Amino acid sequence: MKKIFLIFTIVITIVNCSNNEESSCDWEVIPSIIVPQETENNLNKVFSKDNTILNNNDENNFILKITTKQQLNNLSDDELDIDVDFDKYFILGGRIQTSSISNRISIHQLKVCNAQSSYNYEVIIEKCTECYPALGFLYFWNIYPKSISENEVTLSIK
Amino acid sequence: MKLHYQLNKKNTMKKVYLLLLLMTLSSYSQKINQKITKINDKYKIENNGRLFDVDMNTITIKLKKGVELNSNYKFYRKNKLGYVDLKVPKDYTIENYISLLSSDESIEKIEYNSIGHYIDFIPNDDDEHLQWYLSTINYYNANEFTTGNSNVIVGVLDSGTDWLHSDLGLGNDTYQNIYLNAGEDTWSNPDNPNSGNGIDDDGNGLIDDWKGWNYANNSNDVRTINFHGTQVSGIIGAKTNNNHGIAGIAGGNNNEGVKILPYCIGIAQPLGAVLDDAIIEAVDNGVKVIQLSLSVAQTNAIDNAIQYAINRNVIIICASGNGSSNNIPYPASNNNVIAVGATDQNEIRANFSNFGNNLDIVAPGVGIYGLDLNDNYITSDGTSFAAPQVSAVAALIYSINPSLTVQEVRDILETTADKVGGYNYTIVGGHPNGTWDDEMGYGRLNAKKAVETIIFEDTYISGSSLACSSNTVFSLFNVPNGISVNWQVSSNLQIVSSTNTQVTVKASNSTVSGSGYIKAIISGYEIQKIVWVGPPSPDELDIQNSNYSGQDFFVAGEQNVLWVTTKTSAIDETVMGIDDYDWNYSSGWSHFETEDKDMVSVVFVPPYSYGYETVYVRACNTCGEGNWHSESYQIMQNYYLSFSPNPTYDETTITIEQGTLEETNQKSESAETASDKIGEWDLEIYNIMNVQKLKKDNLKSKSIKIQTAGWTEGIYLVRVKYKDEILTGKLLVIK
Repeated sequence: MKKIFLIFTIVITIVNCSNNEESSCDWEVIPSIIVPQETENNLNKVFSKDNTILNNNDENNFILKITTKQQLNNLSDDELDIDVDFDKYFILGGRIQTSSISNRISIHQLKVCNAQSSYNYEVIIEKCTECYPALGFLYFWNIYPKSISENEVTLSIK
Repeated sequence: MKLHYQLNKKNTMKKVYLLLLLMTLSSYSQKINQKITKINDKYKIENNGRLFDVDMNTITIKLKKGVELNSNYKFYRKNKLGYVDLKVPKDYTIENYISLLSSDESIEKIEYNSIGHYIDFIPNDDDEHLQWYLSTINYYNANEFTTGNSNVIVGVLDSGTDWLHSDLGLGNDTYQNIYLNAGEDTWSNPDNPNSGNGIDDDGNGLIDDWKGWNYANNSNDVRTINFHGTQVSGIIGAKTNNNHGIAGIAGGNNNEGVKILPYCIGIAQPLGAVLDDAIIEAVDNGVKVIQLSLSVAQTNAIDNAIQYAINRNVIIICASGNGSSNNIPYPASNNNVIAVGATDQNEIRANFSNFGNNLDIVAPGVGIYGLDLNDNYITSDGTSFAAPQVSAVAALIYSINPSLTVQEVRDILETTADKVGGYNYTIVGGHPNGTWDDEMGYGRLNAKKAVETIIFEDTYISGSSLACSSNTVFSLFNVPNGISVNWQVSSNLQIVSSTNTQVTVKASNSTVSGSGYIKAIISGYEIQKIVWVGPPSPDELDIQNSNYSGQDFFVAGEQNVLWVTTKTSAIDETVMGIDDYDWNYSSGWSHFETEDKDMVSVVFVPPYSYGYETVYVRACNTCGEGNWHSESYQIMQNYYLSFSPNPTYDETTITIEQGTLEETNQKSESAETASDKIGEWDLEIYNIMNVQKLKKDNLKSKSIKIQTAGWTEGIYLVRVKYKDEILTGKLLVIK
C-alpha cells in the first residue's frame, strides 16, 4: 500500500509540476510590424470574407503562415501587388468562426513562451450584446520578423 | 500502412455490397423499371428530376396474360388493363415483398407507387436548386394556393436591405417586392434616395422614406455594407419564378409577392435604442409581419413597442440566436413573439441554435442560399435565416386571410409544424399547441400544412351520418375555385358517381356494418366525414331492469321496466344512427312498449312457471336491424303457499313458504332466523262458488292444519294475506 501511495504521490506531483510550468510560463507579446496603409488595405482584402480561396477552406478556424510572395499570390483572388519583404518578414493570418456577424476581434497578437519555446497566436473576441444571429467569420493578419517563421504557432480563441 | 489497408478493406466491402445490390436489382430489373433512391431512410421515386415519396403500403403488378392472381396476395383493386394493386402485408417490408413478387413467374411487371403532389410548381429561378430548405418546409405544395399577396407587407428590421438587388427590386422585371410608401412622393430617380422632394409628405418625421428608413444614420437609404438584412429580405420576398436568382417563399409567381418594408436598425449591430421606434413605424405603415433576426437587451420601450404591434394584430417573428445554449435572448424571449430556432439538413437542431422554454418553432438554418450585396448570392448559417422562413409563411397565411388574429396565425404555424428529428415531443405546460420539445419547439415549419389550414378552413362534407345499401349523396362545400377533388371511401363503401363537389356512395354490400369514411382529397389535403355503414352492430346491448338493478331476475306478478344500454352508451347510438330497438320475449309474457325507444315494460302473468325466461333486443337504424342480443332472467316470488297433502281427504297443512327472491337476499341468514321472522297472517278459504268455508285471522305459526272431512269434493281457493302480499293457492278435496 505504501508503495502504491508513493507512486500515486509522484504522479500527482509530476502533473502538478507540469501544470505549474505551463501556467507560470511568462508569455510575451511579440510586436508586429507596422506596414504602409496601402499594404494594410491590400492585406485586409486578402483576409476578408470576399476571398473565395479562404472561403473554400473547410476549416472554420485556422491560421496560415505565409513566408513567400508566391504563397501570398496563391492566396489572393485578385492580382494584388502587395509590398511585403519576405526576406525580412512573414505573415501570420487566418480566420475564426463566430456565432454572430456582430462579434468583433478586440485583440489578436502573437505571444511567445521563451521557457518552452512555444508560440501562440491569441485572438480575443469581443462578443456583441446587440447581435445579428448569423454565423460569420472574423479575419486577422499580422506581419512578424522572418526569424520567428521557423517556429510552430498554435491558435487560441478567447 | 494499417490505415491504407483498412481503407482498401472498406473499399472492397463497398464493392461487394455494390455487386450484391446490382445482382439484386438486375433480378428485379426485368420487372421493375423505376429509379428508387433512399434518402434519410425514406424511399423516393425519381422521375423527371423530381423526387416523390414511395407509397410503402401498395405495390402495383401486371399479371401475364391468362394468369389468375395468386390468392395469397392481399388484393386491393384491379383495372381492366390488367394492373392489380396489392397491399403490402404487415409482416413484410416493401423490399421483402418486392423480392417475393419478383420471384413469381405469373407477374410480368412490378411498380412502386408514389405519393404525389398536385398542381404546385417548381419555380424557374436559376438558383432554386440551391435552396434545399424549400422542399424541407414543404414550400412546393404551398405555392399552389398562394405565392404571396402584394397587399401584405413584411417589415424587415435588420442591417439594411439592398433594394437595388435585381431579385428583389425592379431588376429586369416590371415589378418589385419592395414596399413603396404611398404617403411619400416618389423619388424622381427610383434608384437614387437623394432624388426625393425633401419633404416629409406623410408627416411621420422621416423625410422621403419611400423605400424604408435607415435608423442607423437617419437617412432614407437602407442599403448598407452588411449583407444580413438583404439575405433575410430575400428569403421572404425575392422575386419568384422570374427566371432569375432565387425563389422567395412569398415572392410571387413572376408577379408581385408580399412587399418588404426594410428598416436599417444598425449596420454591424442592431441598436436597441431604435428598435422600438422602428417597430412602431412599421406597424403604422401597415405591416402584417415584423421580422427580427437580432438580439438586443430587453427594455420597457421595446416591450411596449412589441405590445403595440400585437395590439394592432401584427405578428413578430424572432430568431432564437446562435449561442448553442438554452437561454434564448431578447426579443425572442418575449412571450408575445414567435421564437424560431434552426435545423440542419438532417432535420435536427443545428448545433449552434439556442433552445429552451421560449422556443416556439424551428426552420432550416444551415447552408441557406440567398441574396447578397452587389447583386450577388451567398450561403449563410444561423437562426437569422430560419426566422424569415417563418415570417414568409406567416405572410402567406395573411395573403389568404388578412383578418386573422396574431393568435390564430401563431396557432396555425405551431399546430402544423412537423415533429421531425426523433425528439421527445410531449405535452408541456405553457405550450398549448400540441406536443413540444425543448430543442425543437412545436417542430419544423411546414408551409403546406399551414397554408392548407386556412385554404380549407371552411371546407366540409355535408350529408347523412349513415350510408346504407341504397345511394346516399354527400356534398363538399366551400371548395376553392379551380381545385380538383379526388374522392376516397372506406372499403365498406363504394362510389357510385362523383363530381368536384358531390359524391354518391352506397354500402359495398348488404351485409356490411361498421364505421366508414368519405374523404375529399384536395391537393393532398384530406377532408373527411365519418359515417356509419349499414345496420347498427353494437358490441354489446345490456338490458337493465329498473326494479332490481344489476340483478338477473324478475319477481312474478310485478311490472318490470326494462331498458337497453349500448356498451358505450349514447356514443354508439349517435355513431350508428340507432333510432329504435326491437324487443322479443319468451312465450307466456305479456308486454307493452313505452314511448321511449329504448325502454319497455313487461309483466310476467299467471300461470306462473318458475324458471328462466329470455328477453331479446336488437338495435335498428334506417339501414335495418342489427343482431339480436339476449338476457336470461330467473322468475322469482317472495312467498308462496304449500299444501300437504294436496289433494287431501280429511285434513291438510297449509304452510307459508319463502320464495326464491327472499332466499337470494337472505342466503347468508340461518334458517332459524328466517323462521322466527314469520309474523301474523290471515287465512280465507272459498269453494268454487266463492262461498267462504274458513276464515282465521292473526295466525302466528307459519303452518296451520285444517280439517276438510266435512267438505264436499272439489277445488277450494285458498287466500292468505301475509305482510303486504296476497298469496293464493288451490286445494283439491277428494272423497
